[in-house]
Amino acid sequence: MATSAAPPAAATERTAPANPTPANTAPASSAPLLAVEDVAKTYRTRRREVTALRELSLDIGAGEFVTVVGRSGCGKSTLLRLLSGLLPVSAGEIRVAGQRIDGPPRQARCVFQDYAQSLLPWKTVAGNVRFGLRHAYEPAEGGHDELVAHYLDLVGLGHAADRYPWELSGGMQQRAAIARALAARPQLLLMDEAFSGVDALSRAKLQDVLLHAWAEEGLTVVFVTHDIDEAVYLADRVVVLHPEGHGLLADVRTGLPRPRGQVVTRELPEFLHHRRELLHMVLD
Amino acid sequence: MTSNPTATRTPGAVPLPAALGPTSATTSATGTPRRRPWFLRALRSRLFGWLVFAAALLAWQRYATANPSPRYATVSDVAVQWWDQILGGRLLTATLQTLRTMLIGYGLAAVLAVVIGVLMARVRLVYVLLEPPLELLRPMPISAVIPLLILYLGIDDAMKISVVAVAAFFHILLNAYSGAGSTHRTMMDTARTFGLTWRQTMAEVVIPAAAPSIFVGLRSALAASLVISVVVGMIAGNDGLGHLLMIQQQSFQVTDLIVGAVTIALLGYALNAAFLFVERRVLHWHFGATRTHD
Repeated sequence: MATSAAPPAAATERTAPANPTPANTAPASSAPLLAVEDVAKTYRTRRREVTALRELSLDIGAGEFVTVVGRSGCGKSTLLRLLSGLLPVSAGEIRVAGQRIDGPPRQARCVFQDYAQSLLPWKTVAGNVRFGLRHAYEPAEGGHDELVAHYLDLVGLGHAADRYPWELSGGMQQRAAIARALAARPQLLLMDEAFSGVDALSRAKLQDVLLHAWAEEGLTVVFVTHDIDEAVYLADRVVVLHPEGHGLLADVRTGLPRPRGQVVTRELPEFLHHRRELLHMVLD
Repeated sequence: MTSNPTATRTPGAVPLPAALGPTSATTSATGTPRRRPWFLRALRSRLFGWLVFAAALLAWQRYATANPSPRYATVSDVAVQWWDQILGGRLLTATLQTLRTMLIGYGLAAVLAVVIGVLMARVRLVYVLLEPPLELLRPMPISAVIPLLILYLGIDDAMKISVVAVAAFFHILLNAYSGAGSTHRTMMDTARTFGLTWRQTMAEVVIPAAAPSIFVGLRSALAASLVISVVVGMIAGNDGLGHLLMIQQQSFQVTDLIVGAVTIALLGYALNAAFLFVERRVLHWHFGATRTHD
């Protein structure tokens, strides 16, 4: 029911020309797109219980770009699987657009680290994007062929439409996965270590492709990474999980200027300041 | 893992016997930078095998001509007889009858086995209900079931088709089951987060992902179906190649018997070639994804 009101709002947001800093206006809104309330996750094995996360609360507003960092084992991947509805919470609740989730929320799409197992190898790159259109949150108006071309161009894969995923480099495959996720026109894009599997140059390219798509499509992005530089470079807000999964250690609004550039942004004093501070937090 | 662009082999892709096919590396010798000497290349070519085979036929021909005996026939006799009988109709009719029985039984088995195999892999209740009886039936030799089926179904098409279907069924079932049960977790997560219904997940993700495995089963089932469709004609036939062979054996027609055997061999070869033709088209993505870089 709430959804009948949602599409027009999202559509206007999408058709509006790229606002380079959509996040500046977003956090003030009263109802966050994504609300995590006192969530805990406990894995039960036969012998014992392992608590991956507890007492975690977090609100993310529409249009925000949030990265999640933390020491390995702090539960950041668990958090993303909870947000994507692939794992049930053990306590607390997660709400997307005000509704408690019980399974994958319709508004969200995921980009996984393991792109080779996420793209459908029997479909071309265009076929995979078409899959995203067919299973969209917001059914697309207009011809599918033009939309496929639009999303491929958005990630710079227009030339590879008819190729198969396994013919492409890792970075290009992950761009195809991003295009597929965007083609489903989600409000929320969830990414779990999505760029960890590719080489450094492809990674920089993927970061810029993602920032471009985020600005163009008016998305909200939650991005889990173990790479502090990547976290600061991409986000407006970096969330640090407590090393034992006990709530949040820090919630930093970086406020770095946009648009960002691989060279310029990474040399900014504010960038280096946040990077130093966050590294201390994660390492100590 | 795949950051190395020369490694086109997808990590975690099931390296199933796809390489069994005729796509072996023998034909790709043309573009290699360092060429082997011609006689080594000839030894590696499939043509060499055919030439040796032809030489063996020639030796047989010469031996059989030099030492005539009713116990064997010359190659040329067999060839002439085969041609006559195919044109004469009796052999052709029998072959078509066998082929018809086989294809209907095989087709039924393929549909049933894929459906049941996928359901067993993906619906716990179906697995629980069907696994015990199927595991009991599976090791039973099909020839042991034929007398029972004759009792219930007679010796007509219904029985023969059923026997072929049963023989083919388990080959396909096991592969469909294991293929549908081993869809990668990330792929299932992808289907879930894109909001696919159960049926969409089966049709768009699970079954295509299981296709390479299903084709392995379909291929071994094809061979089994041919064997059984001939055998069932021998045991309980009133038509078909098996029946024809039995009649000829009883009248000591050696040439005709060899003609029959040759016909079955040719039929098997043609069926396999047709199968590979289809497989290469349906699974081209799989062969591409699992091929080592050339």
